[in-house]
Amino acid sequence: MTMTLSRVRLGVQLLMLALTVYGGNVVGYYMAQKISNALPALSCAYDQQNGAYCVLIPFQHQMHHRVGEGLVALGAVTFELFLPMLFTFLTFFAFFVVLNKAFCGWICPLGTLQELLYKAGRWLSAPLRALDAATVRRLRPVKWLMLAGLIFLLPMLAGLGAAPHAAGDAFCQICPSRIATTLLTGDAEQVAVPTSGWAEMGFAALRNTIFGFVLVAAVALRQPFCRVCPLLALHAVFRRLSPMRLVKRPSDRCARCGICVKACPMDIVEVAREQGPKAFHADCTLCGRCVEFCPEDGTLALKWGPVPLFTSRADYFRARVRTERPDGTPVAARLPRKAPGPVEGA
Amino acid sequence: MRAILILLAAVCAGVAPAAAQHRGHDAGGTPASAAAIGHWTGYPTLRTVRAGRAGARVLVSGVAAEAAAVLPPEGAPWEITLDGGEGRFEARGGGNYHWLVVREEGEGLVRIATAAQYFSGPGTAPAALLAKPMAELEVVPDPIPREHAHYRAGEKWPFLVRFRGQPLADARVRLHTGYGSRISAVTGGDGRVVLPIPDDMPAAVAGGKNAHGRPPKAPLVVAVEHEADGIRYVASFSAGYRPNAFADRALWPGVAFMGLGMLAAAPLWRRKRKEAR
Repeated sequence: MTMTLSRVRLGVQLLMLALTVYGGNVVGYYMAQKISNALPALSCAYDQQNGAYCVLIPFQHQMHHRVGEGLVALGAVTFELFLPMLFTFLTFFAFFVVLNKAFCGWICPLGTLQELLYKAGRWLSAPLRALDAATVRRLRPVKWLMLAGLIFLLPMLAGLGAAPHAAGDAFCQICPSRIATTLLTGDAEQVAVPTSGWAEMGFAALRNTIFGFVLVAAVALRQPFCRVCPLLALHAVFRRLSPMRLVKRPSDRCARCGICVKACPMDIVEVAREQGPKAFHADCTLCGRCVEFCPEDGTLALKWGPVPLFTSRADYFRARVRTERPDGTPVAARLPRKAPGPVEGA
Repeated sequence: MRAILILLAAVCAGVAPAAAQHRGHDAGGTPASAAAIGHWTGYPTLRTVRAGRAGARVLVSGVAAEAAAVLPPEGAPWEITLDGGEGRFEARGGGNYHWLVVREEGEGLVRIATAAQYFSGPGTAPAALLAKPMAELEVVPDPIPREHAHYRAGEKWPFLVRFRGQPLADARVRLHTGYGSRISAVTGGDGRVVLPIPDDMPAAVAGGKNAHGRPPKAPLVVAVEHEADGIRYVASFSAGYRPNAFADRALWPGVAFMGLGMLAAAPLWRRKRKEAR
């Protein structure tokens, strides 16, 4: 078996899936024993065995209990209100600065599960749905609305008493990772719909519907939830501050080629159309598939500061497409089926 | 986009009841129904009621003590004065859980009541705090429900019984709840016992919410007795428990909404004519 970047990434993803979903059995049970309480990936706190907490949890709690309730109590904005948020951000950034958006492409348990479903779909020759450029363009602002509305605005309104308590962790209320990771530990509680309040009921209905949609859509469509994930937006804000990045050397052939766009699970056309820093788009998850499927020596590279981690190579590309198409379909699975031969002894 | 607009509309519709939910924040996390239940156990109990972000009231019953020891996860322990079985303390240093001990020594009898109070502050995990002996005889949660977790009816939780710092085997541990359940089990060779939290909360109580929109809590006590050197020791750990996880939840509607989402995504699986050929 050839060691490709995708295989290395799959190994890391499976390890991280185990760590984020079951890691509490190794690192410790209590919050203070977790790897981090502000991990830049959807590691769910509702999962009692998790190895780390998603950064979006403390952000929502701080907007709800510190900022919102603090504003009500003090009637003024003070530095102390935002101090816990600053510490959460610094903890998040300490992790983020090392891997940048690779937290989406290499660490996030929900990202991994969606990729595994898509792989299953390719192996089973399920129909493939690539999003056209116009749909991608329309979807892109949703992640920013999710970040602003569900992580900051609604939790703060809940703290101010202008929204129900359920909105205090509005994103957690609808996050499909909450169902996925808890189901992986054999806990069906998060699937059940609360019957004690309309807001809780509405959030749970939406959460289950989104989860069901993602579960089925991910088989035919790459990373359906990642495209609207508020963590993708949060990462995008700070992506220029990390030394880890996607680097593109200008090339005239890119406009005619476009294989990298077909390989990209987020359908980012800019990686082919743009040059320099603009090729490292806000939606990029640093999965490295575009680098793997670039047929030109040195045009695309994953770099950590000045250190190239993985660079595109023509010979690597040739070997890669022998086993897998840029859209992830295994080459063997696309071969026409053989007509049944004559039955021996007939 | 449409889903977000629907969500925002649903939230706006909930604004009126929202203000009502925000009264009495500081009472959150207490076994609020304990007072309403009245006398419910013969064992000593130590109840804590959160008072503000970093403070808690202490209410002792069944132990005649003038002081309670507070053991923080970081730093040195200290004592607080009890007046008529009531006191108050503020969290010190880092760490979430503070351990409380009250002790009464009489003729041939020592009564000890303990409890843990959670504060939402960063710092050390309670693992080291719970691992060190804090009284002669003690029943210690192992582990204590972490952040975002609680004792809930229908769940099983482990406890460790220690005497003079060593695990106590073959000790009968009893669990009493405010709603009248009485169960018991015997510790194994390692001093551990796993107890089920009784599912005894009346439906009318279990389906309600406290001032912070959270499920109600009722009191429970886990107690053990042991005799050594002519002295009878009675030790207890007090806590609150919440209703069964599914008391106000319905699984099948959840599965139905999941099915709805799956149905919405099903057209993506339809093979296009060109592709089918």
